[in-house]
Amino acid sequence: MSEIIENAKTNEAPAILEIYNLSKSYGDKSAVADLSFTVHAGELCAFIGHNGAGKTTTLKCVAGILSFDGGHIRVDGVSLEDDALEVKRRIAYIPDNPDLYDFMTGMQYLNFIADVFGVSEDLRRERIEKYSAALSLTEGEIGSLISSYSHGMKQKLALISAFLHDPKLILLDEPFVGLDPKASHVLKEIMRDFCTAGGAILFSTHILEVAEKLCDKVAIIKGGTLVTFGSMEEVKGNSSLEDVFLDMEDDEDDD
Amino acid sequence: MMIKALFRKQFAEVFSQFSKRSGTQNNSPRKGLITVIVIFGVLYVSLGMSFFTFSKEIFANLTSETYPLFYMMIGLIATAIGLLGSVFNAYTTIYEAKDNEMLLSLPIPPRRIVMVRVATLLVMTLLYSGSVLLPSFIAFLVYGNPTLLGGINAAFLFIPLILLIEAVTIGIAFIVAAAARKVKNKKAIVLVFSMALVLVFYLVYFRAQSFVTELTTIGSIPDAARYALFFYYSMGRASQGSVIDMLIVVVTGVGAFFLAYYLLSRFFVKFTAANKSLASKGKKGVVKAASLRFSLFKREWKIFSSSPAYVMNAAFFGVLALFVVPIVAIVKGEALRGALSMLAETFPRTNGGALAAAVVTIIGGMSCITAPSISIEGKRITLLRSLPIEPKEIFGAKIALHLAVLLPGILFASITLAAVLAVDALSWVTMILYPIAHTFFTAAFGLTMNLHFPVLDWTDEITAIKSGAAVLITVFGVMILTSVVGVLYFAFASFLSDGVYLAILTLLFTIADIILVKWLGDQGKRKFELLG
Repeated sequence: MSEIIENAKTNEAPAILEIYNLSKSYGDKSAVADLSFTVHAGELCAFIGHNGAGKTTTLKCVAGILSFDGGHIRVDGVSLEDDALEVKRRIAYIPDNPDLYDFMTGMQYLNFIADVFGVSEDLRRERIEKYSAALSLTEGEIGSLISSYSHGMKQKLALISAFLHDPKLILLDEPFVGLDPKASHVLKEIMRDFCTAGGAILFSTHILEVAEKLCDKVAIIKGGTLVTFGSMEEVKGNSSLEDVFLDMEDDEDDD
Repeated sequence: MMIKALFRKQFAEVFSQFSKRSGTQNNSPRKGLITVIVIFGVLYVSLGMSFFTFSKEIFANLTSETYPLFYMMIGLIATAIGLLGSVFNAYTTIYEAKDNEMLLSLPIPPRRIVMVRVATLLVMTLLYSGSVLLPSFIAFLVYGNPTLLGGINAAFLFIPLILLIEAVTIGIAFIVAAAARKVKNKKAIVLVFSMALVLVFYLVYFRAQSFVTELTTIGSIPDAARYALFFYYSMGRASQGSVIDMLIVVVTGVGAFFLAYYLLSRFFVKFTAANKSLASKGKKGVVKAASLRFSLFKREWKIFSSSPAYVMNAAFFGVLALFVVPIVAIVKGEALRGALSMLAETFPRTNGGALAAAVVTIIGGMSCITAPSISIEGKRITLLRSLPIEPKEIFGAKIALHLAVLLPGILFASITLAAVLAVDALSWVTMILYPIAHTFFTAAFGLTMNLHFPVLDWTDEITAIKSGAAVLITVFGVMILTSVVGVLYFAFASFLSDGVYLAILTLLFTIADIILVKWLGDQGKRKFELLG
């Protein structure tokens, strides 16, 4: 594990997300144990594991929603333990099933998020127009109550809100669930562009083909422990990510 | 088997709300049940004693001719209190439960789902109406000299009465749902309809109540009263041992209930499905920046105003009363000053200011918007917690909403009563300052309690708004504290003026406010950070 941290430290791009020895338990049950990895600026990192492996717990810990029992998390050089508020200013977090405010319209919600991050009217207008057009969310839809949205529309709105304040790190939990094929395609482009511009993304997914084609790095977690982490090429070698993942599952089962 | 499972789910949710404390993993259902029993025990004992005394006084004025008036009056009071327990919640409980779609997707007949929802409302009605019916029944046995048949009838009268109350409750929910079907802004129509129907009902109710009270002095019951209030008149006759009247009561109560239940079941799927609407017809939204504080306040206002159940349960009656009471005081100014001069014979220093402030604060304390304000966030609390917002800003917005809704009425009532009573300058100032400090205290105390007892995993928002321990403790706690403070006035009235007494209260409540604010900024923040 210390090798991973050393490799991350020698990477030329600045580290955006650093997780060291993260541990989190729910009562007697360990959800995440001694987890360490780093994501640098410009990197798109997939976070893979079976259901209950600890992906969402890790993402929630990084987002400052869950307290953790041990370890350290730094975002853009800021320690989460020392200044959680500053960390939150630098990230955007979209949960797997975004429970947005049903009583607001889409625009009211975006205004609320932009107000929280202090985004100027001009900037928010520009970004709302850009991302809503890209994700095919019409003005009428954005002006409607969120309670009338489908799951996919909520997902799109949550994604627009994530880009409003130009964060350094975006945490996405299953971002492609509920999106139509076109929106999925656009989202991949947006994610790629965001990282090219110097941002970093950590996202969990069960769609291994997407992870394989889209990501620079991959972290595979099982039973709360990091099984493997590295560049996509290092991890999958000549086989597919799906084969690697399934082999790891089989190996663990044999053990 | 199926219906048993549904009932288990429904009541597990209701009772689990009482056993949850923030930051703990151990949620004991038994502890929750004990909390419910203790709270309702205190309520039953205090209300029971007053209704027992009230019943005794009624019997002192009754003749054999006017004997049915006892159960007419008790029936009307039980109806009003029972409706308070369920009428504001019926629409939300039946049509807006988050698990409606999930349950409808399962092989469960809709009437079974409705049955379980209605059962929850029935239990609430029974708990509320029981606080009147039980002590009245005991007083009836002690002072009413009932016949054997009259006693047996009286023992079972509560069943058709509760069913009739429930029929009215679900009837209102049904009308509201029918009206809201094709309206775009359903929440607003639900709120307006609920307010209108409840106001109409209570206007009719209070008219009937004063009519029955007048009858006790007439010495006979006119035919008009027998026909207009036939159900309640039959209750009275049944308590005299009339089998036919008992049958009339049973048939009316049970019949009304099953008719309402049939209509509800028949149109349940149609009305529930109609809750959803398409998103494409909205107007273009406006990009508009605001400060963080104002944005958080707007968010709180949206949460509050978009939930008819929240408005009706947490504020409507309190705010309404704060505007009605001073108007009554103006109209009945002469009588008020007359009562005051009688009081002044015992307490020469009194000018009525302290008692008026007590009335204002008791009414104001009945409304607490902050007590369910954490719970109402539900699972969305994680969204809020992922944002870079200091908890104290969120707390501030919640308290600010409570003040914004309550203070206009508080100030109106205080200023009007001070003017009607023509109090001195110090009383004028303190009659305004004390209710303000008290209102802030209610808001901060409610928020504190909700941080202690948050309910975030609800499927029906009523469980967050009404059933949680935070709401019960806040409302009854503030009511008891305010009443004690009001009654304590008489211990000091002979040597303290109203103005000085209220100044002391203002100081004490301001100190309490500061302590609560400090707690919220420290312990409250930590509790908030463990939520979700």
